[in-house]
Amino acid sequence: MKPRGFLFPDSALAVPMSNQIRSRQPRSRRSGQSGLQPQNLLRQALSFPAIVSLALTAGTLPSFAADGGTTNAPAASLADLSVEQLMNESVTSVDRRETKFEESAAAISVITQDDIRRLGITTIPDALRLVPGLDVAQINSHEWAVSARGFNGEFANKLLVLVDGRSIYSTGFGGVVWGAEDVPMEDVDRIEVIRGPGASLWGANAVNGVINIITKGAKDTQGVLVSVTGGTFDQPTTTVRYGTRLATNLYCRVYGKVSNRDGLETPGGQDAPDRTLTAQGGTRLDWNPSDENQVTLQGDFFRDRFVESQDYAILSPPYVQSFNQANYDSGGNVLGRWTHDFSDSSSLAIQTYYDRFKEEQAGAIETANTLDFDAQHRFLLGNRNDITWGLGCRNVAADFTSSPFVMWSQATEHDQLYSSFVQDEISLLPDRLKLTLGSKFEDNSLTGFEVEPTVRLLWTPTARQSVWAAISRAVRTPDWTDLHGDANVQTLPPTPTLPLPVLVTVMGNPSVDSEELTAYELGYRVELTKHLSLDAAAFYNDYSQLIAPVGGSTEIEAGASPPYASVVIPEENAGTAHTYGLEVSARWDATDYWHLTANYSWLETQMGFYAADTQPGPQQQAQLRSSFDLPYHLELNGDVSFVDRVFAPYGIGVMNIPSYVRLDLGLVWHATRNLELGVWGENLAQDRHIEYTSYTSTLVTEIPRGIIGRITFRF
Amino acid sequence: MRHPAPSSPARRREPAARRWLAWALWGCCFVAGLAPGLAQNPVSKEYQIKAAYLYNFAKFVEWPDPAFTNNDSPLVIGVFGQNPFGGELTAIAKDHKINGRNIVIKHVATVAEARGVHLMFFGAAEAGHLAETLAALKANSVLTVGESEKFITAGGMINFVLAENTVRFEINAAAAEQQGLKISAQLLKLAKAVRPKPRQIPP
Repeated sequence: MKPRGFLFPDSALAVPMSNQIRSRQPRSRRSGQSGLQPQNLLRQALSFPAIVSLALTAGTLPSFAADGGTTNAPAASLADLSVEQLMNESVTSVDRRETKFEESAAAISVITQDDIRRLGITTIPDALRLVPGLDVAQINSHEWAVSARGFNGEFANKLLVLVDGRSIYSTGFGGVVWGAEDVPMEDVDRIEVIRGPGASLWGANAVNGVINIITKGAKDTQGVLVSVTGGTFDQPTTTVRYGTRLATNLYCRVYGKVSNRDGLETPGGQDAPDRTLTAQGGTRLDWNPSDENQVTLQGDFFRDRFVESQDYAILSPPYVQSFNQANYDSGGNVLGRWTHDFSDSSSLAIQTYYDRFKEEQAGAIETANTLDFDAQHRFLLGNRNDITWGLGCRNVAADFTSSPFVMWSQATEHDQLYSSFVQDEISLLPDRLKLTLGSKFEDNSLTGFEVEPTVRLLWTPTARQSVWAAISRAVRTPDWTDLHGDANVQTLPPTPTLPLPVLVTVMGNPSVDSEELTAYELGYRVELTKHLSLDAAAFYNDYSQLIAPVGGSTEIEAGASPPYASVVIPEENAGTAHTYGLEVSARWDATDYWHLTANYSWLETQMGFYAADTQPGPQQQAQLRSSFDLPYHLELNGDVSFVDRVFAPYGIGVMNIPSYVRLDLGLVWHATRNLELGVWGENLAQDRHIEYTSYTSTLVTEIPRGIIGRITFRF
Repeated sequence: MRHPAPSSPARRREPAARRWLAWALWGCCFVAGLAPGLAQNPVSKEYQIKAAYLYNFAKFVEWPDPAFTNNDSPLVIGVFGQNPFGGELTAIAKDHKINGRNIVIKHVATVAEARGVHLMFFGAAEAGHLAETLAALKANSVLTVGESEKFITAGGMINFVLAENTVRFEINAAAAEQQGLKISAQLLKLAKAVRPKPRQIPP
C-alpha cells in the first residue's frame, strides 16, 4: 500500500489523530486477544464494549438537579392578549417558520431573547441547553457537541441548523462549527428547536432535529447598543450595534462583535491551551414597500483563530505526539428574502443566499461555496386545506488540500441539490382534528433521489389540551469525509503477536448511501391551569444504513522505515440503531413576577452495530430554571441542571464522562432606561467538570466555576 | 486501490420501481387528504385577532345599568349578517368571562333580532345600509363595531383599520357616550383616532 500524500518527518511517520483517538486501553487487554488478525482486532476494538472505558474523575453526584428551562411558548390564545399586544399582532402568519407552537404536531421549543438575556448566555450552544432533551456538551473554547435524541459528538451530523433561513450545517464533515457561529446574542429574536425529524420541510440532514436561529428585524434594533461581557473565565467580549431608519419603511442595522473565549482547564486545574478569538460583523436591511411586500437583505462576515491541542500518531514510540495548533475559520454570507402576500390566504416567499466557509485546521484547508435558492407558496385551497409547497436548489462547490490530518481522494467537490416539497394541513374537524401530510423530494448528486414524507395528526379535544402523533422518514446524506476523506486514526503499538506498529486508517467510501430514519412520535400538551402548562413528547426512532467503518484490509509495509502494518477500514452503511425516549417540560407562572420552568428527558439507545451497553447520549437530564423580578428594577435568575453520565468517543474507545450538575445564578439590574448591568456565577456546583471529549485530542478539558459580568448601554 | 476514481454522479440511486411506488403512495395520500376539504373556510388570522379585540373591547366598556337584567346575566356579542369569524367567537365565549359575566354569541339578521345584544359587529359585507341599521339600533345601548371605511361617519362607535399588517382601531367616543356607554380612557388612548366630542353649547 502506498503512503499517503504527506511528509514523513524522519523515520517517524506523522499520523494525525483524526476521527478517533488513541485508546488508553491497557496493553494487556489487547495482547490478551492473541492470535487475532489486526483487522479483526480493530473491528473488535472499534466496537465500543471491547474497550475498557475510563472513568476520569470518579464519583457520582447527587442524582438530581437541573438547568435552565426552556420555553415552550406558553399557549396563550389571542383572546388572552392585551389590547396593546393585539395591536402588534401580525395578520399574516403564513411562513412555514411561523406556525403557532401549540398548534403544531411536533416537539417544538422556543428560546426567547428574554431567556438569553436573563441568564447572561454568551453563545448559541449555551442557549440550547435550555431546551428539554437537547444534549449540549462543551469540548473546548471552540467546539461543542450538540444533538437531539442521541448520536451526539463533536461532529454530530443528524441535526440541521439554520441562521435566518441559511443552513450552517457543513456538508464537508457533517455538523456545525459552533465556535465559528458568533451571532450577537442581543440580536437573537428567538431560537426555535424542533426535536425529531423535520426532513419533510427542511430536507436531508434534518434527521434528529432542526434548529432555527432567528435574528431580530432591523426595525427592532434601532439606536445604539454597546455590550461588554467579561469574567474570570472569558476575556472581554464586545458587541457594538447601530440601527437607523433610512427612509419610510426602510430600516437598517450594522454590528460588529469581537469575542475572546479563554481556554478551559485541565483536570488538574491548569489552564488548557485552547482559546478562541472571533471577529464578526454584518448588516441587515428591512424594507416594507407596502403592506403586501417585505424585503430583507442581510450579510455577515467572520474570522476566528483558535488554538487547540491536537494529536498526531507517529510510527515510533510513544506512537502519539501532541501539538498546540493554531487553526482558522473564515467566511461570510449574503442573503436576500422577499415575501409577498397575494391575499389573506395566499403568500409567497423567495429566498436566496450565498455562503462561503473556509476552514484551516492542522494544515488542511477546506473551502466551501454554497449558492442556495428557495421559494415557497402557501395558500388556502377551498375550505379545509392549508397548503404550502416549494422548490429549491443548492449548489456547493468546494476544494480541499490534504494534510496529515485528512487526505482527500479528490481535490474538489461539486454538488447539486434540487428539491421540492408540499405540505397540506387538512382540518378534518374544524378546531378539533388536523391532519398534516407532507413530503420533501430531493435529487442530489451524492445519493440520488430521496423522499422524506411525514404524516402528522393533531387532536384538540378541548381548548386546553392537545394530542399529536407523527410518523416520518428522514435521511442524512453522506458528508465528504464519509465519501472520500481518509483519516489516519491512530497507531497501535507493537504486540508480542504482531511486532510491528499498526497504522489504522478510516477510508472514505464513494459508494456509501444515505443513512435512514423512520421516526414514530407522540406528544401531549395541556394547560392544567391558566398558570401551569405541560408539554410532553415521546419517540421511537429506527435507524438503518448508518455509516460506520467496518471490515478492512491489512498490508505489511516491510520496506518502509520503520516497517509497519497498515489497516485500512472503509466506511460502510453497516450500522443500525433504535432509540426511544421521553421529553417533558412544565412551565409554571407562579405569580406575575416569578416564573419557573422544569424539564426532564430520558433517552435509551440501542446500537445494532456498536455494542448494546454503550450510551451515546445522557440517559437522563433534568433542569429547573427560575426567573424572579425583584423591586428596584432587579431580576434574580437561576438555573440548575443535571446531566447523566455519557460515554464519549475517545481514541478508538470510549471515555466514561461522569454525570454532573451545573448551577448558574445571576442578578440583572436595569439601572436606568439606557443601562443594564448583570453579574452571574456560572457552574457554581462544582470546581470544574468535564462535558465531552474531542476527536482530535487526548487532552481532556474541563469547565471551571466562574463569574461573568455584563454592561449593556442602549440609546 | 487507496483512492478510487471519483464516482459518477449516478451512484447508488433508489431502484426506479421503489421510487415510483413512493411517489404514487404519496400522491394517493395527498389526493385523499384534499377530498374532504369541502365545507368551511378556516378563519384567517385577521379575524382571529378581531375576535380577540371584540372580547377585549367588552372589558373596557361600561354599559348603563338597564342593559343587564341582573349581575349574572350574560354579555351578548352579536354578529350582524354574514359571520366572518367562523367558530372563533364561540371558542372565546366558552373559555372566558367578562367581569364575571358569561359571554353569549348571537347571530343577528335583522334589527328586530338585535334586542338584548350589548356589542354588535358589522362585517365589511354589511356596509350597504349601515346608516339606517345603526340609527335603528339607537337607544338600545349597543356598542357598535365595524370594519368599513364609512363606519364611523355612518354613526358607528369603533372601527377596525388595517395598518402595516396589524389590526388597529378608531373610536368615536361621542357616539358611544350618546348611548350611555363609557369607554375607558385606557382604550381611548390606544385608539388610532378619537373623534372629538361635538362642542357642548352652553344653555
